[in-house]
Amino acid sequence: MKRALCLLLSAVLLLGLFAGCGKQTTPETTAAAGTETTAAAETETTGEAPKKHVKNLVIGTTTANTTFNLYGQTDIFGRINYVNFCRANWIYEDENGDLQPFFFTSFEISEDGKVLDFTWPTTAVWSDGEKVTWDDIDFTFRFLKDTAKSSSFIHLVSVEPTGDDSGRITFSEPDVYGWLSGSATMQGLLPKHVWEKFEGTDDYKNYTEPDAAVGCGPYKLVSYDVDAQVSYYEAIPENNYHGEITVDSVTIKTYADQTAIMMALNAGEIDCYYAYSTPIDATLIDLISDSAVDPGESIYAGEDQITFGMTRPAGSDYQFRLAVTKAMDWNLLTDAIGGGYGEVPRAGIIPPSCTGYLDGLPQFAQDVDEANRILDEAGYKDVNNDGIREFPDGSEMKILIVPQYSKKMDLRNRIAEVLIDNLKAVGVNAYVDQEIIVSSEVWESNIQAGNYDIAIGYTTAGMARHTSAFRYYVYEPKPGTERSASWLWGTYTDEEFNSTVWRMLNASSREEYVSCIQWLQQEAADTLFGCALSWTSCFYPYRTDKYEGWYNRPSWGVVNDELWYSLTSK
Amino acid sequence: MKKRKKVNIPVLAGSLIIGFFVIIAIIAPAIVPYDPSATSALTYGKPSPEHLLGTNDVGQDIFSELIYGTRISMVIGIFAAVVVTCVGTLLALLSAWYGGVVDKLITGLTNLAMAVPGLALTTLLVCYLSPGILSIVVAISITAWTGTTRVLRSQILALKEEPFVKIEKAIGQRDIVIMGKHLLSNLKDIILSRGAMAVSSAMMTEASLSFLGLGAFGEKSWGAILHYAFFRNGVVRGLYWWYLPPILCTSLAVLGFMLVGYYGQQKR
Repeated sequence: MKRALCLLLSAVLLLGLFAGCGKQTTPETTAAAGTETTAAAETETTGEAPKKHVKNLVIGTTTANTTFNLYGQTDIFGRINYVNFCRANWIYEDENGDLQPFFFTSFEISEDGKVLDFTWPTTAVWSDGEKVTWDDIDFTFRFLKDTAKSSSFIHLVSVEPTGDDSGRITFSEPDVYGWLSGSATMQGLLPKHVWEKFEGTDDYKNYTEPDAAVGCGPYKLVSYDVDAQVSYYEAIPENNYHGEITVDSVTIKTYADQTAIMMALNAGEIDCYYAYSTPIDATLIDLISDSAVDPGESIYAGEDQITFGMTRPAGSDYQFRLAVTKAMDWNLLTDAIGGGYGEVPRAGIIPPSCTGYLDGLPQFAQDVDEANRILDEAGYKDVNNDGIREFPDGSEMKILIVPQYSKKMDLRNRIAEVLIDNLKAVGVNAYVDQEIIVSSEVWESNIQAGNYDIAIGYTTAGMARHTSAFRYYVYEPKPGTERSASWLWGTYTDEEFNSTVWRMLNASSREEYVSCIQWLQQEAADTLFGCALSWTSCFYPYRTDKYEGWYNRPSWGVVNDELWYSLTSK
Repeated sequence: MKKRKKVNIPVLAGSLIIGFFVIIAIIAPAIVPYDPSATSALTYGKPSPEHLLGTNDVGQDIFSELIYGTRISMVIGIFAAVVVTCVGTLLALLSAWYGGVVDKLITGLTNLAMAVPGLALTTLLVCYLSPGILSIVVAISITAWTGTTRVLRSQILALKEEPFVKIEKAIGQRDIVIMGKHLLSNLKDIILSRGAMAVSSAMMTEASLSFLGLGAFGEKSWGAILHYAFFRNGVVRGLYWWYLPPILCTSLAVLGFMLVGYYGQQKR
């Protein structure tokens, strides 16, 4: 009897165990299985070979994994949403700089550039299960205009539905192209049921409740561990804006620094690296020790640059600016900034990877003798024989160099050291005022006041994409706005230059944009109001042993808008 | 027969080390092969006859940087130590001699200052004061006087009870004379030892601050060399000729002052 009871009990336990095992599936495997079934079903009807889904892509970053706010632009959640991750941005830009449909499944700009007709996917869902509706679209534009005060929507007149899956946005000015190519690629739909409580307030910026991450992008946030700096995401198959989603789940791990990223890549701990406008430092590429790691090299669209103080005695003189460019050791600057992976820039400032690049402008080259000759002829002579040149009127000449206060301060300081030494070689006394670079506030107030002879700055890849480096040279504010607006760091007061920059940013077509940016490059070459310091490569390394279908988008790396639909298992 | 004086080997070794660095600091401009700020196209150069310790990320000669770095480190170390020792000694004299409220006030201040992490406070002060040699000296001086004050105060309290001090006091000698003539003269060994220890401490603090990037722009100190070696990934890339020399120099100089400071106050 006792033995029979024992056998019965064991049998019950075993059954229970099997039943338990059957139900114990992780969200990852559930998602993967679900997607694979979909792929197989699709294959039956289309006859194509099934795509081998990536079960879990592990992305390494150095950006914090702490806040998860759909509107936010800080932390990795905000930054990876630039590439259509948990947020569905209106459109995206392909490698040629052409605008492609994303949330707007199709779009058309009217001839006068004031009206945008678009269609949208009625099958899209929010990550909390709610359906995306027209109300969300209507709410988002009102929110961006009235609450977030987005400058793109100053002239917004109306947002109206024109059908079950179509709508029309009307502006009073030809702002459609400017908005689409400017911020629409990094801006997307907001869920009305989450964000309507913030209308008219600023509280949305710091909102961190779990529903702050609700989006209608191809992925949803499943969980995160702030202490471990890891977050987990799963695909939402319905939100297949760009085709079948082939990466079923994504893990994002934050590492202390880029050295740790390189070690993790070599060890196979992560599959690729992503950080907005922060490619792996070129000096770390030597650390790749595994042949399966591809450095992910591409031409960078951003650059380090200098701006001359055009309202001060030295900077306002073209001959002085020309002499400075002749005195600079361009090869050293390119090496110091790009770690040997770069080229000496041309006079148009923006690199060849930018839309509207104007080929054929002169390339800079160091010529110390020529620099000395130009300075002599322009009257900058060493009057008191102390080895240092004076202004043409005989007064003391001290050139103030101001490196931009930023995370990359060390590199800017190094560039300043090179410039000071190069200018010293032609008898120009240059210096850095320590008091100006103690904080971002002090630095910016000096820059806005034009308190510099040479400012060393930086254009990120994101800014370079449409806004371009020329935005940093602007002196006049956007027409209709105040002089106190931020980012007015330039001192070039030329009316045509300023109006062309703003016309470029508000261009109503690609042709107008290209025409403006090419004029600006020619102007930069003709007047030398500033120049790029180097055109470099950038590195977003990734592993090639497990997956295929990587597409290394220049300046952005392999983690881009198309990754979620192109990557497959080998 | 004349008794042979025993040589204090650690102090001698420490003095030789200090002497070496002091001489290097003084004659630095005469022995550097290059201007340490001069850049060149030879970046990340390995050690060679032209560049004994190679070149850095902007082609500057690391050996020349190192030689000039001796000046910065020694100047900051010695200057800060003098200030720290003077302040510490003065406060100890006032505290121990006058007692009462003065003693309570200074002892309380000392305890309070000792409770705050030194390097953290110094870092904050340097950030507030803006980077530079003077800021570093001021910041170190504000935070590093406590040890000297505490040690000297206890010694002075003991000396106060000595008959020769009591006699001076009884005959109405002025306080300042007793302090200068009897107390300080009996404490000179300890003060010098504390001073030597303060130099090593200040040098370490300076190296730490410069390593954290809180040095002045373009400053060629040992900590700054190390800072850029780390920042440009010299360590992970195995460019030992860039990061090892400043570490060795800092360690050796600190060792020299520690030997003099520690063994100098021990009875021979």
